[in-house]
Amino acid sequence: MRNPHCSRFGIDRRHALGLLSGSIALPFVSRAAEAPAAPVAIARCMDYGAELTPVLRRMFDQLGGLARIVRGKTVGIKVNLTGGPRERMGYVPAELAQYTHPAVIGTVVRLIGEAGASRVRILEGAFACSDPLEEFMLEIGWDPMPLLNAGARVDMENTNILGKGKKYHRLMTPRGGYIFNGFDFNHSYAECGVLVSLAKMKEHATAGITGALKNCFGCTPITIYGDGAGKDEPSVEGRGGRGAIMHSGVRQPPKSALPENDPKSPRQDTWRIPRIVADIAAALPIHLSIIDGIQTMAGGEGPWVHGTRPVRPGLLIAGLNPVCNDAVMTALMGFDPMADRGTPPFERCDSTLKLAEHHGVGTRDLRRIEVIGGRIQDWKMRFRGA
Amino acid sequence: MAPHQLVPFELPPDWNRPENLAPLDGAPFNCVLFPEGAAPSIAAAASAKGWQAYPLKQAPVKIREGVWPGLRLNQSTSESAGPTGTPWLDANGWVAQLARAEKPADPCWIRTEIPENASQQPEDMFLFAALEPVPYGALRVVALPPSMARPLGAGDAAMRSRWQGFCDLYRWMLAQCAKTSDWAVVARLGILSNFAGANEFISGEVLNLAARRNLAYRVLFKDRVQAEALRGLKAVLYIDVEPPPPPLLKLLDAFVASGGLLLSPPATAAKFASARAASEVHPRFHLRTYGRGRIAASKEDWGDPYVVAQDTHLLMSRRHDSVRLFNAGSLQFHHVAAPQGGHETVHLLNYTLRPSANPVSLQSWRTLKSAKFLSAGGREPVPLEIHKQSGYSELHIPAFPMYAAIELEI
Repeated sequence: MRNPHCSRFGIDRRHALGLLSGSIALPFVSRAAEAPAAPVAIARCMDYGAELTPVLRRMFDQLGGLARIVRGKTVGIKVNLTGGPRERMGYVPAELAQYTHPAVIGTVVRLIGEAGASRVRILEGAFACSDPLEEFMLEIGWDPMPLLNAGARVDMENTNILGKGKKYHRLMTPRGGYIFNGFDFNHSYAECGVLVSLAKMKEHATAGITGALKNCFGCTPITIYGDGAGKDEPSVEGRGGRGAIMHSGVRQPPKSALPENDPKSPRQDTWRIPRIVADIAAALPIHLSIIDGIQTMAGGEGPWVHGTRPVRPGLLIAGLNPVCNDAVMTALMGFDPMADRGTPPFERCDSTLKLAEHHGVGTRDLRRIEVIGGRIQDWKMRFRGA
Repeated sequence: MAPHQLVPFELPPDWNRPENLAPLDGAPFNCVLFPEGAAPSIAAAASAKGWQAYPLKQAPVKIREGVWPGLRLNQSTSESAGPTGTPWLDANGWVAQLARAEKPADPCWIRTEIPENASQQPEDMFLFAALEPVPYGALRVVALPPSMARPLGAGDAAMRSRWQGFCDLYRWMLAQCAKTSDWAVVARLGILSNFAGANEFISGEVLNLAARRNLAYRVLFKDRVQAEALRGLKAVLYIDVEPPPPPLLKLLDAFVASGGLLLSPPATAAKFASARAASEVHPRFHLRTYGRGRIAASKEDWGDPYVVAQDTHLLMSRRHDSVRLFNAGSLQFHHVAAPQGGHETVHLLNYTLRPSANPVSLQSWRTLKSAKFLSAGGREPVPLEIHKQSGYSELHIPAFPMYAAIELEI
């Protein structure tokens, strides 16, 4: 039965009680206590020049070396190219605001190649389109060739569509999801032996923060989870954003994909997106998380968010667990990773960190996370005051 | 007076007395087109003022049907999105380019019936409609909605003042664009068709939608294309149900063999019998190599013009875009180059009619010696700082409401 006091957001009583008590109503037993911890390396890096390679190399060494993670493996690198390629925050190029910088992408590709990866694939569900990722990069104003030549066997794929695969691959959340129990992905995510989330340090309008976890929201193909998705089957072409199915839940994915667990659950995007992101994190293991926080934006995830502004934290973050990684990032942004709904940066939304932690993906408790390379309190900045 | 010198104005239906012509004194118009049923005295009065006067249906220049330019609005008046995901624009540049390619020696006039909801449109839309085709070397038959024509014809002082501003800006635009009227469009794509009969709809829509993607093109008429017209192109899109006649086939053969890309329907692609299958796979094209070039043979006859324009752009590659604009979802550009080289102008048209909320950047892969900015009505171009990056240059464009020109020295 709907709670009339919460009808504005379409939140029913069961979910509303969770919000009012400051906790998240969980449909299953929390795995937070057993959520693993992993070390996180942080480093100062003030620009995208020559400093980048030695700094990243040192960070990977601090994590035990790349070779033990990637040698002989196909490595998928999910980059963050959110929003349209010609959208900018004022005159600021996208790579200095909302996008992972190509210099970071190129350096990571090269180091992973040098560490013995058998193949590297740069992956992104490029905004609202089926264009080859190389063409999307050209539209940003980037030349994709240096990225393709950064290693021996490097290619790219726009994972919004079936692409080079013959079918979509279903990956399940091990113990059931908040909203989806599993997702159908482009073949690249199922075929890679190692998945790297190469994200940007940002806030987010509906998820509080962007980082390694939220970056993987863009792994979902828009032929299935986009506004132009088919009713019964995935569409052939990918068109439109992920508004109808994912953000507002006004329709279900095609019948070929798993439906929502509870179509009567709240339709509020600030309730749904953190949960969907946590579900994706449970279904799609991220082996290495890297966050570009050298130059970025504060106030939101893209220039379409009112009040965004450029910031220059001069930071890189890398870790082996995306929740731990994002918890450290959150702290470096001047927020408390243990914060719940109603407290910055989650004033309007639920905490993706908490939800992913309850899924057992990783801990957000800084007391359990070894931070290497520097101290959070030394490099912490105030994103809200930047 | 030669047709090229005529600047047309469509007389409002209720300007039926000679004194109604007073607003045209000193205005930039010298050709009055009067509607059916207009009083003979009006035509006589116009002629007496030294203007040419014709019934609309007997205009001395062929009139092409256009649309009222602007963002298409839905019922809630929010900006509606087209298939590109950006706001949908109604624009006429492609009509002008098609007309000028069809009859290069003839002037081109564009006209649209006054819309039924004219009173709900901003006055600036009618001014913008007059400005819009000028960079393309065409003119709109300027017409005013009743909400403007009636007070103007009646001598309303406030409307007269606004009309004066309208005329000043239009006169400025005519002078500004005269400098580049014979400059060639900077494009790496040729769109080739007879643009008639069974090809008329699809070819016209592809021109319209390619322009919407900011995909610049040369319009090539099938019956007169010469080797020179293909020089500098990276791709030719052949939109014609009939395969090319032997002389044209020979030209296209040479174009592809020397490294060009030909996109064509299956029947035309079949003429290249020795083409070999390429390793690339495409959902809507069989890709083949031929000499140093490629042939993209459509698996079916042309269908959705949006998809045709999109596929053409991607198969040719955005690497060959002449310039790239950022935060320009409601802008179109027309990039032209001086015949002797060295100078180019990028005409920018802003269909929102108001300065962009987000500032626009222009990116060029070329080495720029200098860049200047001139907005509608401006006296002198303002130098723009060239922000040089690795492999490209960027210009930060100041906000402008309707039209601006970026003058480039290469």
